Amino acid sequence: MGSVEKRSKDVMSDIPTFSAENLQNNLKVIQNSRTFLSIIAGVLAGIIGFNGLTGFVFYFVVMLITSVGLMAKAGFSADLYFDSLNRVLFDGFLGGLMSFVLFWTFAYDLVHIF
Amino acid sequence: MPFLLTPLIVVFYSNSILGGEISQRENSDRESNFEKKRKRELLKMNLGFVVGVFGILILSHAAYSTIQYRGLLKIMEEEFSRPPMNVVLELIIGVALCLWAALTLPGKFLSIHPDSDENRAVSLPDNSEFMIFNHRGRLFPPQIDMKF
Repeated sequence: MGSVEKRSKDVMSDIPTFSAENLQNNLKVIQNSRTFLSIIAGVLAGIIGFNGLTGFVFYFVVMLITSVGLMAKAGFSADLYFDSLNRVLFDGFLGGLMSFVLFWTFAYDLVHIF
Repeated sequence: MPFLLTPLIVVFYSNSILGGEISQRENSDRESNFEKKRKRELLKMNLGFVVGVFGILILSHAAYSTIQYRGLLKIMEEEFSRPPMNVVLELIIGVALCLWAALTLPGKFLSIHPDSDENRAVSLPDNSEFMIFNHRGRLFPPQIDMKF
């Protein structure tokens, strides 16, 4: 009986198992956070009046701040909530770019041109 | 002005709904841990929602101030280089509030370890009355060291 338990325990520690639906929930959470913050970054860039390349640099700065914020939310130990660190840092980087440019032009028109 | 009160109304309404559910039960003095955790999570989400709405309102007020500032500059025929200092301060406050709301609103992170306390393998399902345990499965040795 004891040898059977030891063998199954070894098998369990070899294969990395994790709860996949919790991982999906975490990925959805960071996707939502990044989308919302890219919209806010677009409105901010439009109000301040960034032109050209400065705006895109601002977008990457805001995405880096988002990554730091998400790491702080995960308690700086991504092993507990994600399978790899790259997911939480670089997952939705370019996904919010379109929303950013949309709200950037929208706010810029509203404040500076109209 | 009334639309500013609607988030607060949502907060109080949801709290009273949860309070009403519990008071109708027979053992109304004791709240289970699950109910407490759900109440706390709902309260935090509502607080995040209110904070987010305030952040967006502050940002729109800053946008309106910038529009007025630009109108003033057009009268004085000067160039627009950057918004005035009070608008920058409002923007920083609004962005800080929205940042906090964006990190709190979408939900909590759930642990993905199968061995943690919150990922228990067995929870009481609704049809536990129909389950029988007097079948031949009791002759098999337990394969996996599961936490119950």
